[in-house]
Amino acid sequence: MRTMTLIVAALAVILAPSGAYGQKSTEMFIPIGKSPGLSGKVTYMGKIGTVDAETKLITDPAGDWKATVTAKTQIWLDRSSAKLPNREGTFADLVPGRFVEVKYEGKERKRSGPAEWIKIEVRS
Amino acid sequence: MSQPTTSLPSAGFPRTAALAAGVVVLILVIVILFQSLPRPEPPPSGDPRVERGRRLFFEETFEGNGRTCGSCHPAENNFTLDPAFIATLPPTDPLFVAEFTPALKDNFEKPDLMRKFAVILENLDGFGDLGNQFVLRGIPHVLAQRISVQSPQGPRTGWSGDGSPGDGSLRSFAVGAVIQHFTKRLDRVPGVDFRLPTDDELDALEAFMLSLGRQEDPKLPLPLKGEVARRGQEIFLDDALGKCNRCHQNAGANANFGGANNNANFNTGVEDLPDQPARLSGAVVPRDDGLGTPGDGTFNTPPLVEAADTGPFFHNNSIETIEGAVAFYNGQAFNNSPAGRALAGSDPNGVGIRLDATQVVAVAAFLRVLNAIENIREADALLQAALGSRAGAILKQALAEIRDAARVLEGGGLHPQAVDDLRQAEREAEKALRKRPPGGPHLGEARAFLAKARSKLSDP
Repeated sequence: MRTMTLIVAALAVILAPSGAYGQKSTEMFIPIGKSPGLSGKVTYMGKIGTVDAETKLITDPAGDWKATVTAKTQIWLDRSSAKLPNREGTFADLVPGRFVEVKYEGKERKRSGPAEWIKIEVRS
Repeated sequence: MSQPTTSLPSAGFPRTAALAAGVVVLILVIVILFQSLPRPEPPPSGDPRVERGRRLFFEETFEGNGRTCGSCHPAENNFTLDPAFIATLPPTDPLFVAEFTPALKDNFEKPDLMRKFAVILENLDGFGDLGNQFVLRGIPHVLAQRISVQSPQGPRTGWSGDGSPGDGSLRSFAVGAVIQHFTKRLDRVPGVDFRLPTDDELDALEAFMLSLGRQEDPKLPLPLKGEVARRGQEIFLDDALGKCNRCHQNAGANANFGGANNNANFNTGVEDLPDQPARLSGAVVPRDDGLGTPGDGTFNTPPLVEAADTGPFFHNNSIETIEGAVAFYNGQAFNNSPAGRALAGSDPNGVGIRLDATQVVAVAAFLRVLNAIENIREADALLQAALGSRAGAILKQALAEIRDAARVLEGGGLHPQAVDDLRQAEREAEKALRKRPPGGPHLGEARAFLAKARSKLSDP
């Protein structure tokens, strides 16, 4: 019985499913503030205050939140208000004064940590 | 004196034009009649969100290319697509939008493969290289969602469990679907190529999807009457033989590893199957890497109760029959996969799954009977609900369920007397549908024949 329990436990570990994901590919087409279940709940929206290219850290002007851009962070240019297609962006697009929405890694609302994705508002 | 072999244009043209005009009128009449017929629908619900969700699901295009959720999830075909159903659709159906919309001609769908294998195109790993970076997947039915998508990590939607954007919930699913499948152009600009669903609409769509099909899993074993299906059920439940119940507890979508039972993802090696139909066509079909970006090779576990009438099977529609789907677990693709090796590792003899042909057919027979029992349950519920202004549409859905039950049993050579009862039920339901207004005493007759059929499949 104990052996069976161990086998089942081992099987559970081996077959342990990966964590559930929100789909990333279509996320880039969702305008800032419109991500279902995320915007206004676990994301932060506001203007960028500072950008540190060395540490890849961005902060808001009041210091309420800061986010680290990692190799996994997806950056998108939200051009939907100009009726233009959204595009992938780069760290260079993170410029002080630009309005962004930041989703941190994980499911919880945080004030700092690695960003899962950042949407940058581009008006023209 | 020889006669001219061709008519003079002045004499022939009016006749040809009249004939062409007649054909056009006839086609228009057929199209109008087809569109005015009641479309099959699931039973009504008292919840206003469900009713609103139903209308959105089948009618709302979100200002896109004309598709609705029902384009790929038609109620009359178990909320899924297969090549036979696709062949019945008119060429103007929005499903084929890539065939008649220039802006969607390239890289939106693979129309030939859609028609042959009922696969649709998805850009799950990004939209950066549309010509090469895509997957082709079958359409999962949306029945029994309430009991099929929950996991400790959150809901698992779609074939790889990551079908929804945002928070990944079932509620958010429609947002991703609109962006991927409803767009007018590949630019996919909200407000131009489509509009995104509102919060209220997402609530309604979620309520509707949760209302569809079973609300609980069966409690196995069932007291089945057929010897082959009964043996199939034993094999299914035997953790040392079929081992099916490990990942499909009670033939549902939840894994059974001793603790909480939840929906899970596994790499079962389907992508490693040789001779996959879509690839045999010579078309370029990129490997599907499953959950995440880059993918981890795992795919979501679907419920099995509805399997027998919702083929083709697996995420890429690679197997046509339920017998073939069961036999897949005997093969090298599964037994060499991470899931197959783990299963073998837990076996005292190091065996993954090894069934003989009679055992494969027995498990498939069990799944066929299980599916027919669910069809009968759903049909009976629909017949009871076939009242009021939507009676015709509900009756059509009941007819579809009755026909499915007969088809899945006949396909396995199972319970011919029950099939005969189901055909009688079908005839009575057809009579009820022909009445104006639809309904009347034939509904009761149809239900009585359903009960007779059900009693031949298992004890209560």
